[in-house]
Amino acid sequence: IASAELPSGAWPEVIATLAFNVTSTQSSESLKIASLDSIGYICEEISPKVLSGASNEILTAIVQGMRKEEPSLHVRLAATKALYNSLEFTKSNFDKETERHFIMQVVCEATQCPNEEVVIAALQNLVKIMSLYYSYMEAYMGPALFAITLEAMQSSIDGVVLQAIEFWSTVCDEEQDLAIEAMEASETGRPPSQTSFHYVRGALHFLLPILLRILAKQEEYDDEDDWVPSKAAGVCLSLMASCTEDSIVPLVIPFVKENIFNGDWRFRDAAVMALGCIMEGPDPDQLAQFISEVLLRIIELMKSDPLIQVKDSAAWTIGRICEQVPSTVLHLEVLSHLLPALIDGLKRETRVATNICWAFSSLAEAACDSALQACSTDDVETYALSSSFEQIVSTILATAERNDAVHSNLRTAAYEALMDLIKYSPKDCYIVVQKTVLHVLDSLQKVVQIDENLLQGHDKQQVSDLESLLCATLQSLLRKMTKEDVLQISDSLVQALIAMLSTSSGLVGGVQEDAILTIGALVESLGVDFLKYMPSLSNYLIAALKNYNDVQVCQAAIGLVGDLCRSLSVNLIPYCENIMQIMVDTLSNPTVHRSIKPPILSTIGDIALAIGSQFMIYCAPVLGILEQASRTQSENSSDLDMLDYLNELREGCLEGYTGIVQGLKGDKENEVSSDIQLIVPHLPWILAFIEIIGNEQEKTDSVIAGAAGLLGDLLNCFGAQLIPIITQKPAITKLLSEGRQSRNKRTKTLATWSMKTIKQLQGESPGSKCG
Amino acid sequence: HAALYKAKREGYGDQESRRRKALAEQSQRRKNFLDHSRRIAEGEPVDDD
Repeated sequence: IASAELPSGAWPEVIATLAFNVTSTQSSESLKIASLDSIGYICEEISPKVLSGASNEILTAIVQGMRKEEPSLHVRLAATKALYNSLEFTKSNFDKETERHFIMQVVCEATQCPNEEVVIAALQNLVKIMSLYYSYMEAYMGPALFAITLEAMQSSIDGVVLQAIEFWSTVCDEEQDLAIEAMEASETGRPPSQTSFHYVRGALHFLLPILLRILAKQEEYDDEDDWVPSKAAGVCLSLMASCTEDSIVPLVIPFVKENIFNGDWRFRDAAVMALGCIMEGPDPDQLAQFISEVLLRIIELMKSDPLIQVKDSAAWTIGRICEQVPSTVLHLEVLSHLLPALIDGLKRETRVATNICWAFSSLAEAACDSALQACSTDDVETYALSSSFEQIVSTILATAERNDAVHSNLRTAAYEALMDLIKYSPKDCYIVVQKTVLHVLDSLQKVVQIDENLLQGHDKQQVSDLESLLCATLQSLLRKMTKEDVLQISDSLVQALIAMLSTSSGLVGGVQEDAILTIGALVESLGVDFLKYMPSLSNYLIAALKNYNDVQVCQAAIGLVGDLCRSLSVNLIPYCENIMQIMVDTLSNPTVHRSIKPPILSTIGDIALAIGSQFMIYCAPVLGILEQASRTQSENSSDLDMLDYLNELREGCLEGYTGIVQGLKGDKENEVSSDIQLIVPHLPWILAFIEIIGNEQEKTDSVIAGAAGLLGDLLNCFGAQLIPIITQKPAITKLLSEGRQSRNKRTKTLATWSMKTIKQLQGESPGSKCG
Repeated sequence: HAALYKAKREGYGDQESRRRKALAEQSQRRKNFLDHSRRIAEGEPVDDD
């Protein structure tokens, strides 16, 4: 009731009444507990803004209930849980040193309570306090928090250990964020808003021995969903490696060396896990030497350890090595041991095979990168996996088709690996690409037939998942194939995709989206030769465009229109009226999910660019819509979702305008078509829109690039007559300067190009182009 | 951090992220196409003043 009433200003006395119940000596134990529970629930439900005025009353009641003098453990527990929910809006209390000391004192005291539930709740508070108020923790870390959490990590109670580890994982998160902020601040020459105290680095010597011991306390038969200390220790170790980088390496290597041959499987497993956990963070060169020393042992453990847990961890660690330090495996000598072991491992337990699939994904990318570095072109002729490629691909396909592949996510992992193997394959593996596409197409045709005969339920879901994976694999294959080869299979593929679009029609979460994305890849590959499929596919495209209730299907269809524009160009004209009508209707429909609108605006630009002067008939309504959309403002600057959306919407508008400007300009070099005059009445607003973007604090790199690109296009069309207007808008020059300093290459290039165009035109007289 | 463990140990690709990636690639194709028609000379320095 309070959740419903407090935000609208009703029932103002509720907090005071509940707080009185807790602090009054007349209240019974059960009334105190019920009142604290109630305060906790209210704090959990209601926006901090609504409750911040009552923070003193709430804190007084909670702290009174938490004190060690409180005789009832139940009251202490209820108060400690209530504090957890109130931490976000008690910032003003944390800002005051005396109040902060008092809160920290009661929380620290609660961690020493004889009741384990109170201890766990108190530690949960410390985790959240660290996450919310890191900058205030210096006074408490050395004298209290370090000792409390170190002791808690060595507790015999799992819940206590988990919270203590969580505390340090949170410190790692905070310090990593601060490191990123410090780097960004140094690049832009400003001081960081907050500094890191490097607690993790300082505590590393004390924390690591404990964490490594916990790592070796695995459950023998744990459920994969169980959250246990050994798993938490693994995550904490990974975060520490990211946070402390090279410092962690000499502290973990001795543990790995000592235990990788240990007779106790728990220590063997912990050794392998520890190595896998520190792969990300340290400089690969710091790890390479040691990895080379132990790699054969890890391969051996993956192949033949009697414990599946150890085989699983070894396969995972090999995957991590392939991902983070691939230079250690991309040697003929190492590959001669590794590849047969990985291929053989694909036939083992599903959880082992899943990790191996992931290792193949990383290996494929790394081998391609390494070959690219060695050759001067973008087209790699051959790479380190070439001689085994056919065997790898055929075994991965067989793995995807294993009867037990639904377990441990194996089927998905196998197809994902196949997609990466194809994507990163060199020219000398093309024959395997050709064979694979026939195999995958055949699988799709078979599964589509099954789908047509299935109604609903678990089987239907499995068939849909498989169709989705096969479509994604086909997209990867189509991007690799020559147009001539694609033409050999395109009739059969389109037939299968039409069957998918027909059978799954109306199913939420169905495979229509995958079918449409696959058509997009086909369009990209065939170019204008796709035109022959338009009569049979256009009805499905129209239906998907109208299906705005299924946001993802509609978005995929909008994207497909963009691909069709780029491939079919003016050949799309017969379909444009229908498509434009639906898009304009969708844009004007207030019930449509807002995420659909930005891509429509961009795609309208694609259509304009594709059909050139034929777009003139749509100009008046479309330019009106673009102006309306680009005038959208965020009413609440702290609403991050709205800010993200505003950036997406502006990018859509910029791409829409760009397509129209480039389309009306015509495609003749050094000659601007008179069609561009249709833009003239809108020029003041378009330039004002770019100025608004220039003044915006929270703009993305893509928006800066889009604005710089559009400005350059306008300057190329309208020439020096724009210069006086641009000169009056310093925000535009500021925007270009910002773009030129961007780390994003495209943004930098477009901003430089626009600025250069301005410089060139400043020497010319107004009206030299179209005016 | 349980979700992080699951994502790192068991989450090898999901339908949603695959589809999002495909849509992002489409958007990249549009950007490339627009840039292509601009015939931009890359990386030439321009004085800010």
